[in-house]
Amino acid sequence: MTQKIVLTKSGFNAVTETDARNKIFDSSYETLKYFSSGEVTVARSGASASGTFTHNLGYIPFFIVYVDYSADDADFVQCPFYFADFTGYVFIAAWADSTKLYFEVEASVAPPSTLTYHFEYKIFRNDTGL
Amino acid sequence: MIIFYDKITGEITGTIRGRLHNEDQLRMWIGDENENGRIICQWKKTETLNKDKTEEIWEPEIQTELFTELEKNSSLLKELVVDTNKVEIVRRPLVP
Repeated sequence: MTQKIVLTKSGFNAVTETDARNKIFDSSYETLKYFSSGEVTVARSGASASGTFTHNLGYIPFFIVYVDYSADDADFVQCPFYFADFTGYVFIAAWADSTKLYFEVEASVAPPSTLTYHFEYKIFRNDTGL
Repeated sequence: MIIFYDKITGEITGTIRGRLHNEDQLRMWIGDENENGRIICQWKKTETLNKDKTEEIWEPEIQTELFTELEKNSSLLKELVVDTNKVEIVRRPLVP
């Protein structure tokens, strides 16, 4: 018999319940295994700029990256983020390989003064298998 | 928390959050290893409040006040810079 941990909602039997919607947790299902989080700042004085985070996991992990698109407040949006109007465009993205996360900002023109982009990353132990 | 900074300017280039960092996290780096330095702040248990050890008090091993405040308010990071001579975080000087 396979050992597992099951927590059911009130009124359901953890030993016999088979409907996942009636469970709070079931170790039979894969879960995200949180590993690390933090911030990376990228300063852009030209049309593009980039930053890196070396995770050294040896595989492409599951990750999520947000970027603060407001200069004053903390207003985060999930990457990739793309904005364009008649004046130009800005594209903000993050991607990964087996050793690093990459943070990149690309715009149609250089800013009048250096802009700083605040990225928030969350990285998990899960191997995406990509 | 681990703080990475530009060795020349002292500008903070990134962080790894957390109170205790294992070997895997200590192998991580933000930016270029030759250009960026890092400050590692592990936390330590300073007191156990009751017998069953359910209530403990932890505090940063270095720069207690700033790192405690930084954990509560991550946006504080924008106001900080690294003094590259002392290798410690300081509040960014106000520009008149």
